[in-house]
Amino acid sequence: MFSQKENKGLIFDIQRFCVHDGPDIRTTVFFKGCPLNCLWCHNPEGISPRPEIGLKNNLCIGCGNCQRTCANKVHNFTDAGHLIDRKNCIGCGACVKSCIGKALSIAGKYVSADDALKEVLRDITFYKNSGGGMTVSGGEPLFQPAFLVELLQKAKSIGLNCCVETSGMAEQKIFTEILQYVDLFLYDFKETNDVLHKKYTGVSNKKIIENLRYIISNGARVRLRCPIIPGFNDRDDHFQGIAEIRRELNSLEEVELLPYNPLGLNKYERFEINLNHLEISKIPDGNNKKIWTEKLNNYIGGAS
Amino acid sequence: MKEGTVEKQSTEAKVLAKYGLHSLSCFYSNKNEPLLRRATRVSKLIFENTILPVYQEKRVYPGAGWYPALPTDDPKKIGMGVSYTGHYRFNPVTAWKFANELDDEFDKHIITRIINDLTVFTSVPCTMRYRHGGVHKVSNYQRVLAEGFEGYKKRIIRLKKKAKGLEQDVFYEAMLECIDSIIALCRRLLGYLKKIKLHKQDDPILDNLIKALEQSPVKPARTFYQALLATQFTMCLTSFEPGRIDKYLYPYFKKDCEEGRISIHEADQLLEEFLSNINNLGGVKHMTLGGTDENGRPVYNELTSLLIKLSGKIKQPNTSLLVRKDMPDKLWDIAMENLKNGRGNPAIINEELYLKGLKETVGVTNEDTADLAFGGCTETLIQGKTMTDSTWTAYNLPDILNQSINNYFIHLKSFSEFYKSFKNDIRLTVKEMTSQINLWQHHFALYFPLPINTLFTDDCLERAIGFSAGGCRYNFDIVDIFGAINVINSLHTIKLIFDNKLNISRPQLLKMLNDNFRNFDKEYIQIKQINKYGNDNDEINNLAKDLLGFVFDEIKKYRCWRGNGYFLPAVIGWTSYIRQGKHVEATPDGRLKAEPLSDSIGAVSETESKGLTALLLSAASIPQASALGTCILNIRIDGGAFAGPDGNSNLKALFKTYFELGGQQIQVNAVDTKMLEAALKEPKKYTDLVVRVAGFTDYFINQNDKIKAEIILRTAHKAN
Ligand code: SF4
Ligand code: SF4
Repeated sequence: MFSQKENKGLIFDIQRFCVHDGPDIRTTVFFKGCPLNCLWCHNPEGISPRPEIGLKNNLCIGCGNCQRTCANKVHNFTDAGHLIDRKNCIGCGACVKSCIGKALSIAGKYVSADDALKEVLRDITFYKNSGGGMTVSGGEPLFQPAFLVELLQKAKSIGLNCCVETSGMAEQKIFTEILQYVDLFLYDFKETNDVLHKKYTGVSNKKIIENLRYIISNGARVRLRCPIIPGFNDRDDHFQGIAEIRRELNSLEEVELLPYNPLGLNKYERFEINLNHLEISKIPDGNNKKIWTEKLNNYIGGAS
Repeated sequence: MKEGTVEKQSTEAKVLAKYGLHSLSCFYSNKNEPLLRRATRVSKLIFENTILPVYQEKRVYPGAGWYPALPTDDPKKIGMGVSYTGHYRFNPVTAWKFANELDDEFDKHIITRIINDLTVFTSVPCTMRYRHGGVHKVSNYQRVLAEGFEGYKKRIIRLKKKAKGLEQDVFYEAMLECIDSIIALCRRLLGYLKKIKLHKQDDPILDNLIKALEQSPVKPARTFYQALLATQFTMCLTSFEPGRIDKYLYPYFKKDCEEGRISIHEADQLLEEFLSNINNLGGVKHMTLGGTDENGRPVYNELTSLLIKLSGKIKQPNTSLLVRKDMPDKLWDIAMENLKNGRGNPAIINEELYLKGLKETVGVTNEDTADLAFGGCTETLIQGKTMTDSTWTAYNLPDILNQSINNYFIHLKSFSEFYKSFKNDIRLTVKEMTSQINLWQHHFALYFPLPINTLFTDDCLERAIGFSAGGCRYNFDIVDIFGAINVINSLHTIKLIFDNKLNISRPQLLKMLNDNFRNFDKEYIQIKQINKYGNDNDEINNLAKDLLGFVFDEIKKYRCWRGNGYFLPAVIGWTSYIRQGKHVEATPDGRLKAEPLSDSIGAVSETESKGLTALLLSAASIPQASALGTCILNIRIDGGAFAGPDGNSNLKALFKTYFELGGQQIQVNAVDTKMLEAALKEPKKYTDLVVRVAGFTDYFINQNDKIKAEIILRTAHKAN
C-alpha cells in the first residue's frame, strides 16, 4: 500500500452520468491503484498506484513542447516517433499542460475528499429523480482506505446513495469500517480455481471469498459480478463454483455475468501497458451470454 | 374553364383571361374591392375547377388535397397566379419573359403593371440581416367538428346581420362566399365518389367514405371516422398541421368505443393512414400530444399511446409530447422506446413551463392554454386561435458580436466595458429588427388577406378582421436567435484575453479573426482548448444566463404590429443555422469563417466532454422560461446506453430533472449505424458522439479503429 499525500486520494477520473456502475444515474470516482493485475482489465490505467502519462499518438503534432517542459527528460523524439521514458516520470503533469495538441493526458491526480464530492454533487438533482448517487470504483477503492472512508462518510452524511465496486482484495477491517456507509457492493468474482485465479489476476481468491462471506453475514447488499472471458474462465467448473456461492449466500441480490468486452483495449496503447496482457480470439456476443446464464441457472437450480 | 362570377370585368381581368391566366384575372376582376374579397373570388374559382384527388381505395380521403392553383398558373410556364389560400404564385423570370415577348403593346403594358404589383405584394421589406421565416397555423378543427361548415355559414350570416359599416359588410360577404364554395367543394367531392360507386359495387371502403362525407364536414361530426375525415378535409384547405389531435378526436373515439362502433385496432389503422398522408407531403409539420385539457385534467388516453407509437414510424409530422408530472409511466415507456431506437419522435416538452408563461406573460386565458400546440419545428401557438409568424427574423448574434468586436475591442480596457458595449449594440439592433418585422407584418396584412385561414382561425370572424391583419385571438412572432452558443463561448474567450489568461493579445485576436485563424495554428489550438459551454462550468453557465436573459428581455420589450401581439424569443435553428453562418466571419470561439452557427442550445460539436448531465445543467442555466418561442435542445444518445432494465427510468430521470431545473424541450437523436459510419469518415464532425464502450460510455472518437468498427457492428446488430 502506498502513502497518501496530505489526506488526498489518487484518482484517475470522475465520470458523470454513469448508468452501468450500479443502479440509476450515478457519478463514478475511479481510484487509482489495484493489488490485482487481471489479464483482461479494461481500466489498465487504474492498476499502478502512481500518476501516469498517456499519449494519443494520432493527436501529437510533434511540437516538442513536452520535451522542453519536462525537467526529467521523459519525452524523446526519435525515428521511432515520440517515446516516453516512463521510469523517470514523476507525474507532475507539466507536460500535459504544455501540450497544444491535447495528445497528452495524465491518469492520476491527487484530490481531497471534499473536492471529489463537490464534483459528484453537481448532479445531485439527477440522483434525486433517478435514485442514483455515487459509485466508487477503480482500480481498487479499498486500496486507499483512509481516503475511501472519508469520502464515503462525507457522502453518506448528506444522504447520498453510495456504491462500492471492489475486487474484494483487502483487509477485512477495511470492510468493517466502510460497511455502514455502503448501500450496495458491486463485488467481483473472477475465478473459482485458485491456481488459475493466481495465474489470471496475480493473487489468490481465498481472501476474496472470505471477505464476501464476511460482508454478507454483516448485512451488506451485494451484487456479484463475474467477468466471463472465453478460453479462460468460461468453464463448467467455474459456473458451478459461482452457482455454489449463489446457493450458499442466498441473500446475494444478484449474480451478473459480464461477457468480456474488448472495448477498453485502446487504453493499453495510450499508456503503453503490456499489450500481450491477453490474446483473446473470440469476442462473446449476446448469444454467449444467454448460454452462460442458462448454464449458471441450471447449476443453481440443480441443487435445490 | 368557367370564368369568374363577375360579369363586368376590369381591363386587367380581360387581358389576363386572354392569355389563360384565370386565377389572376379573377383576382383583378373588380379592382375596387378590398383584397380579401378579391381573394375569396379566386378561392371559389379554384374550388370549382380544381382537379379532385383520385380515390385510391384509401379510407382517409382526400389525402394530399388538391392542387392549390389552376393548372395555367403553373409557375414554370408563365408564373403568375393566385392560389385558393390567397398566396401569390409568382416567378418573376418567367413572367417578365412572357411580358417582353408580347406583341400587343397595350397588353404588354397591362401585364407589366401587374408584374409590378406582384413584385410589390411578394417583396419582404426587411434587410437581409434579419430576414428569414414563414407562417405557422393550426386550424380550429375542434370547432369544425362541432359546428360543421353549415354551422360556420349560419354564424357568418348571423354576424353579417350585425355588421357595422360597409367594410364589415364586404368582409362577411367574402367569408360567406368562401364557406359556400367550400361546401360546394365537399359536394363536388361526394358527387365524384358516388360516380365511382356506379362502377364499384363491392367496395365497403367507398361505401363508408360516402356515408361519412354525407354527414361531415358540412354537418357536425358524429363518429370518430367522420371527425377524422373532417379534420383531413380542413387540413387540406389550410395547413396540414394537425395540432392536438388526441385531444379533439378523443370524445368521438370514446363514444364509438362505448357504442361498439370501433376497435382500437381500427382507430390505429385510420390514424396511420391519416399521418402517412401528412408524411407523404414533405415539408415541416407538427403534431402535439398529451398535456392538459380545458378543465386542467391530463390528456393521456388510448389515442395518445397509439399516436406516440405511430410517430415513431414516420418522419413527418414532427411530434411533441406535452409532459405533465402525472404522465403515466406507460406513455413514458412508449416514448422512450421510440427514442432509444433512433426515431426522433416525439420531442419531450415541459408543458407546465409553457402554461405558466402563456398565462402570465402573453395574456393567454387559462382556458385557451389548453390549446397549446406547436407548428412547424416547434413554434408555439394556441391552436385554432393564433397566427404565429415563424421567425420572420433571424437574429444572428455572432453577426452583432463581430461588429461589436470591430468597434470596441481594441479601445476598451476591461471585459465588463466591452460586454456593456456589446449589450448596447444588442439593444439597438433588437429595436431595429422589431421595427422591420412590424413593417413586414403591416405589409403582409395589406397584401396577403388569406381568406381560408381567416375563416378557420378564431376570432377573425367575430372581429371581422383578416387572419394576417390581426383578427386572430393571439398573435405571436417567434424571434429565432442564431449562434447563441457561439457567442457565449466567444465572450468567454474574450474575457480570458482581457484578463491576460491566454498568450494572445487583443490586436492578435483581431488579426486572427480577420485571417480566419490562418497562420495562427498555435493560438487557434489554444482557443479551441478553452473550456466551452456544455460542460457545466459555473463561469460559462453564468455568462449564458446573463447574456441570453438580456437578449430575451430586450426582444420582449416590444410588441407586434399585428394585433398588438407578442414577440416570443426562441433558439430553434431549424436547418438555417447552416445558411446563417455563411456570411459570418470567424468568431472568437474558434468557429471558422462561413462555418455553420451553433444549432439549438446544445453544445457546439467538438466541445463537450462531461456527458449528458453536465450538458443538461449547462442548458438549464439559460432562462428558458423567458423564451416562450422554445429553446430547443438536441441531444444525441446511443440507444444501447439505455438498453438495460433501468434504461427507461434513467432517460425519464434525465428529462424530469432537466424540466425541474427549468428546461423546456428535449429532442433525442439516438445514434444509428449510418451516423457512426459517417463519424468514421469525418471524426471532427462527430466529436460529441457518445457511445457505450465496455462498461462505460465514452466519446466515439476516443476509440481506436478496431473498436470503432466493433461499435458499428454492434449497433447494426441491435437495429435488427
Ligand atoms: S508528468 Fe512531469 S515528469 Fe512526467 S513527463 Fe510530464 S513533465 Fe515530465
Ligand atoms: S506537446 Fe503534445 S503535441 Fe507537442 S510533441 Fe508533446 S505530445 Fe506532441
